[in-house]
Amino acid sequence: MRSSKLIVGVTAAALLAAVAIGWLVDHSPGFAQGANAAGAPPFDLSDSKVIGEGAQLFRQTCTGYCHGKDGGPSRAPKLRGAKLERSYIYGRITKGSPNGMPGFETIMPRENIWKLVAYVLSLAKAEDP
Amino acid sequence: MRTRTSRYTTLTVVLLVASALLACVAHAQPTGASRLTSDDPNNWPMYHRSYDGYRYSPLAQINKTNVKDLQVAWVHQSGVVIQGLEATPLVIDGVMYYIASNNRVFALDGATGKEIWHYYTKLDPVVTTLFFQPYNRGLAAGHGNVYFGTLDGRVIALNMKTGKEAWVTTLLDTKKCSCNFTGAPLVVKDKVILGQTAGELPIQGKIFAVKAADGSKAWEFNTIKNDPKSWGGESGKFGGGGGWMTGAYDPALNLVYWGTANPAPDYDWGGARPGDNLYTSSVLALDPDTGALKWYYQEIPHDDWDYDSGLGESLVLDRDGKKLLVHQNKSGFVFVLDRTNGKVANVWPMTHTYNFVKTIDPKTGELIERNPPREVGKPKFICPWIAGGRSWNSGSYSPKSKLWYNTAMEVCEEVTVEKQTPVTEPAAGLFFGGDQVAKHPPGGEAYGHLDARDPVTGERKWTVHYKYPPIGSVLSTAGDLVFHGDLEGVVRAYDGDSGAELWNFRTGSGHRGGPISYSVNGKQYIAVPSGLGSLVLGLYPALWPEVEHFPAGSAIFVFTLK
Repeated sequence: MRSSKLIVGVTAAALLAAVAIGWLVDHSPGFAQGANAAGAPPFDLSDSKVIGEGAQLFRQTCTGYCHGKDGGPSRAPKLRGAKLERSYIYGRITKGSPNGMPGFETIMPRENIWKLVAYVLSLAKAEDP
Repeated sequence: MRTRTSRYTTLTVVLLVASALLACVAHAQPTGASRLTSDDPNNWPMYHRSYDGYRYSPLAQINKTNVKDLQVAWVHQSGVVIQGLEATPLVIDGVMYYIASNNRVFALDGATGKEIWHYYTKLDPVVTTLFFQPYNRGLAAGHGNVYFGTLDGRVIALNMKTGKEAWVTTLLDTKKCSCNFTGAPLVVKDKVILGQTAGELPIQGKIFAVKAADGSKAWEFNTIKNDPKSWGGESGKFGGGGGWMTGAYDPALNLVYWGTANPAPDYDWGGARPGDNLYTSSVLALDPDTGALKWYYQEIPHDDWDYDSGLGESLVLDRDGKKLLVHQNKSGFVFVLDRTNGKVANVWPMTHTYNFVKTIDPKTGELIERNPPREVGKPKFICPWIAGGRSWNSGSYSPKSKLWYNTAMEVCEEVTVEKQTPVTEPAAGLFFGGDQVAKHPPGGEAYGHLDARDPVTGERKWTVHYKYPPIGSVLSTAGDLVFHGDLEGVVRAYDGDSGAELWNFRTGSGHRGGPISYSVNGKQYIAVPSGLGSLVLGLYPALWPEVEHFPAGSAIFVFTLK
């Protein structure tokens, strides 16, 4: 009897812990799907050449339909003027979002993902035309 | 005595076997192919309701006089609102079948909305890397199954009564091609026909037929013709095309009509794909039994604008002794073809805002004074926009009023062409060859409209203006009504003869799917998919910033008389 209570108690605690961890993982802003895997960028993200290459990749990867031309208004979040963490951007690009954004981790070289990060970071200072 | 007993035994066995066979036939009939010819006015048995593509219900219980009394009978929520609800439901013998995002399939009691079964497709994670996802435009039914193409390149047959898998066939290597199925299949005799996405990908898009009985592949048709004159250099390897929406069928001619998508890259910087790029942006007439090409008509030779022919609307129409096919091209022009041979009978524009050509010759179909965006890095003003003069949503033709109720978009864009190298490893990457942003037409605001027109001449009887270009399909009924939902989430019933608004209801989310009508136990219903979402919707906020915040949704609203 006592041992079955113990088992029930331990199981319940484990379940609660699992749920709590799940909630934390799901709601932690730092989680950002893949942020921990980002590591250090292979180049200077403020380098204008890198940003330019990122802009080209951005245009070729569903601009207009998704984030809007040059990060302008669309149904997906507007990127122009958005203040986003580097790791968050990397995580979103690699893993996508539950709201329908595709993840590029398996189909795009890591270097290109960092170029996109550089471009999106540069949009923080961009103003609407 | 012994002989007589034996005879009785034999007779009994024969009768039992015969009874069993008859029982099988009777059991099979309600969901058999023969019931899916739209003869039963109570049903909506296929994507466009009938092989002729009309989206017309012969039901008339709900009419101009009593439509004001429509009220909600029931609502069903799919539970996934990403990219809204793009599908057109089916109703067969009182049961509604529909498919929502993430390939969720439901069977519901058509009178009450009570769920009979659901099937949530277990999708390969590759789906989360794709451009064309997670929406689906519809199911097909027949031979006791419902069929759909999946986001990860399969075709699945579900038993109509139980929702259990009858068979699963993999047709596409989605991990490699980044392509999939999003349009409703078409059941023709013993085959299930469907086309793949490919127009924005460096691959070769195909149309497939599988056997309804077991899912084995019957034939495939490559929409990229193997012809160096049509595809210079290696461009055909990356030519795109495909046939992402649903075709029509003419049983008398035994021809399936299927529109094909645009070539890849969408924009040609000059020399990207030399030639006319057959069979992209074309209408194909295929033998449904073999997949053999009987004729084709390329509406946009060497498509420079992404004005593909794959919108999925082909009206099979006879007039003055002529067998016609009325086909909507994404450019906004309507091509009227002789459906026995593909010759042009007429061409007319649904929109008045276009500059991609000066005009299209109504006698020959020739594009007069083409205006392609070619100069790399220099924005070019083009009308209509990439979403088209009309999108893939369908109009509706009433054989009673002889009017085609169809939507149109008066919107332009600025295209900037950019050279691009096709990416095929580790998976196919998008291959647009440029980008674009929506613009207002010269001298006015962009807008949309719903028109009542003669489908052959284009003569307009009435029009209704919409601030936001509509992207929902249209339903017409024998009650002389036209139903259509807008981007803001209001579905309206119009007088089919005058365009006067007779009823409306706010469903709370915009409309992208196809409204239908059906009857159960003598009671007529109007079913309206509500749920805003679509790739093209991403183009709207450049002109209408508020659209960014229009709520998504995914529900079927069903209305009936009080």
